[in-house]
Amino acid sequence: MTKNESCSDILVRLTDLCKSFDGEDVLKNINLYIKDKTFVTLLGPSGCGKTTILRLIGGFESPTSGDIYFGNTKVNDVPPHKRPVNTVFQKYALFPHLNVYENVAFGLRIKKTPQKEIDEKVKKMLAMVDLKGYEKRPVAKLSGGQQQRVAIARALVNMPKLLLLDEPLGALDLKLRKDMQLELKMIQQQANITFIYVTHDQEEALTMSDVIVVMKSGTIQQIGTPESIYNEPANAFVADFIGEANIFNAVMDEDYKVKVCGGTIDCVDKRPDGDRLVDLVIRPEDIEVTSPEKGILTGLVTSSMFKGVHYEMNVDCGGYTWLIHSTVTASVGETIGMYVTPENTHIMKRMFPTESNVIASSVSSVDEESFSFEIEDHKYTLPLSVLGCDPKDILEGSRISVEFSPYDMEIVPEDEGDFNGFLDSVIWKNKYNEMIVITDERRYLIETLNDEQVSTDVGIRISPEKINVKLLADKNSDESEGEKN
Amino acid sequence: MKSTKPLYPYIVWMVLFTIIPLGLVVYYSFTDRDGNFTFNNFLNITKLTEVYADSLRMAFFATLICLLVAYPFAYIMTKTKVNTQRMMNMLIMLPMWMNFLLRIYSWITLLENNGIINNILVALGFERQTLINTDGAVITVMIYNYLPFMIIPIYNVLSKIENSLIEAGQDLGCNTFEIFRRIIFPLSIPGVITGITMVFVPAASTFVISQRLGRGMMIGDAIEQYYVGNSPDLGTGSMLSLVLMVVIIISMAVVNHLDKDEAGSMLI
Repeated sequence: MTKNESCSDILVRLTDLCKSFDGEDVLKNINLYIKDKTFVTLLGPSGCGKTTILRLIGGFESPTSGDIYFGNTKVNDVPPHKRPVNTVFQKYALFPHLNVYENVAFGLRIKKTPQKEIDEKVKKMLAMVDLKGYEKRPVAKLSGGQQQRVAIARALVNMPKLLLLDEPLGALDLKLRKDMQLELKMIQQQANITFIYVTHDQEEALTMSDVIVVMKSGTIQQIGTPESIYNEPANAFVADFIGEANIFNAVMDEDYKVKVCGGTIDCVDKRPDGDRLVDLVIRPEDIEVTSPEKGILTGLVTSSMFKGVHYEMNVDCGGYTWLIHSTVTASVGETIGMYVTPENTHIMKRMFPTESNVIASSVSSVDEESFSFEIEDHKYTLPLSVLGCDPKDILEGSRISVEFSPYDMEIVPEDEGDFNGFLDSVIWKNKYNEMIVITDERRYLIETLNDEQVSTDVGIRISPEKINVKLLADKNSDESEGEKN
Repeated sequence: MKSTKPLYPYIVWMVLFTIIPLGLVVYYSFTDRDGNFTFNNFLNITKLTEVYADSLRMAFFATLICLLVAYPFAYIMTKTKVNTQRMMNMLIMLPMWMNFLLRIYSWITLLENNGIINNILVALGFERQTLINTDGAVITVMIYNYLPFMIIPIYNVLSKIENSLIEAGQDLGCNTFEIFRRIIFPLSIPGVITGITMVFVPAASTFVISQRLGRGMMIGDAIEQYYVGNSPDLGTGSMLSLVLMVVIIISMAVVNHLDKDEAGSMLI
């Protein structure tokens, strides 16, 4: 959507919206247009800023910079009680001193609605959320699902143009959650108003939304319909977050051909920005199980489980575990062929541009046996011998190239490592988790078998003996060194 | 069913130090010196109706003023930083760590005719005022003494009101005043009632304060005299405290009734 598009059906517009708490950027330049009468879901892992957007629209926070428009009116400084918006809060925030009826009637009473009208509207709303006959109950005596419905009724009875819902189904059990998902979608269509729904549950988002906004670390990753987000994820993060996916580091030496696990698959994409290193995404249901001769790739079945509609198989191919959903199965230990059509082979720009962490640095001190250098204010000391050259060539200030191999770096609790960073992304790449950690100075690629909560501060550690260092003193020695890993 | 075993020590405690003493008070109230049943004790105390009225009136005003001072104070307190809140809480409690009598005597030195306040007034060119031996002095010192017992329960309930409820109120169209009227105040009533109880009950039965600073006796002083005075009369003393207890129970029941939903079980 562009700025020039007609504003008549745009209800909410966020332009260059930024928000930081205590100097930490929670939202970075959010631009978002929300059309009238749609069900929009803000989806992302915890800490991605989705709730902050909701609170900014509700007026409970004010933007650090950027603007919020309702229609064509800027509402940055409009207090919450003057915004034509109602909210269903995460933990419902029902008034404990009022019964069900009075909770629902609350907004109408503030607006000095005549009692007769209040009566009518509240009754109608309680019927709509299936709580007829509960009028006199104190809210504390209701079950979670009932409280949740009171919260929806309390907000909807005011007939806002926009309803904000902050993970309203989070506290409910699975069965109830599924029922409520359908019910919410129905309520939205019946009431014919706009819903902005915040959740970290991708399935919930796919079920209910007209439009999904996928977020990560305060930025929007992709905006689109559930189908387009599922079928054409913008990057590996979205592919990983929405549904199940096989995500690989792959190589494209030419357009329309991608190399992975020793095979070459045809695809319909060119090399993104001409990059050779790409992310390859294949949904498990898009892999066809064939005889070994007919497949593009062959693999060994390591497990197969019947899941009702399909079999879920793990297939080992080139050291990577492929996840396959197929109605055709093969027994464990069998070698099968795998085939993917070009349309189902999704190529994405890599989130981390290189395969390793190579850092230019310089020797900070040197003595007879060892030398030191600093990275991220952490001092590493290595014996002179690792440089494999004449010790006399190593002087204070000598230029060196330091390589931290992604699989030699360890994630440890904050402040327990060599230095700290922000864990920006964790993506399972069918063999290891690919993590991207951001520090003040640069980004690091880490490959590990461990899992870690994304959007948290972590420590990073690497044993000095695993660090690769090359002296950049003159060109000749540089060439003779060669790649060590 | 929960086990009642852990309760036994408390039951023994209650019987020893609450039920039995209470029973004794009732027993003495209706017996004469020889242990015979009598209503005379009750007739004796009808002479003290005025003392009762005085005590309850002064306790009422002390409670009312405490409430009017404590509520805004507690409310503002919840709006300050956590560290400030902790500090203020400490300062509120601090005077209570000093001996009760000591505090009363220091008030005497403040209020007496040659006291500090009068000396300052004179130095500033005003006339000497009679401050001591007035109802005002008694009420002032009661407020001074019991104010923390009003602030703390109110502060406690106010600080426990979740911010999401306030936001929900704003979301549904409340301005600041309506947030207070429709959400904060109703939710703070249990604290208000606890505060009223904790101030009114001891204020109504207080002693020493009015002896030293007031016009004469309050009910607490009368009870003291009947028990340990020159001519002790346990029967009349017991009847005095029994009647005071009944009056307080009735007043508290009335207060409770005003808010039957929230705080019904908090008292009595």
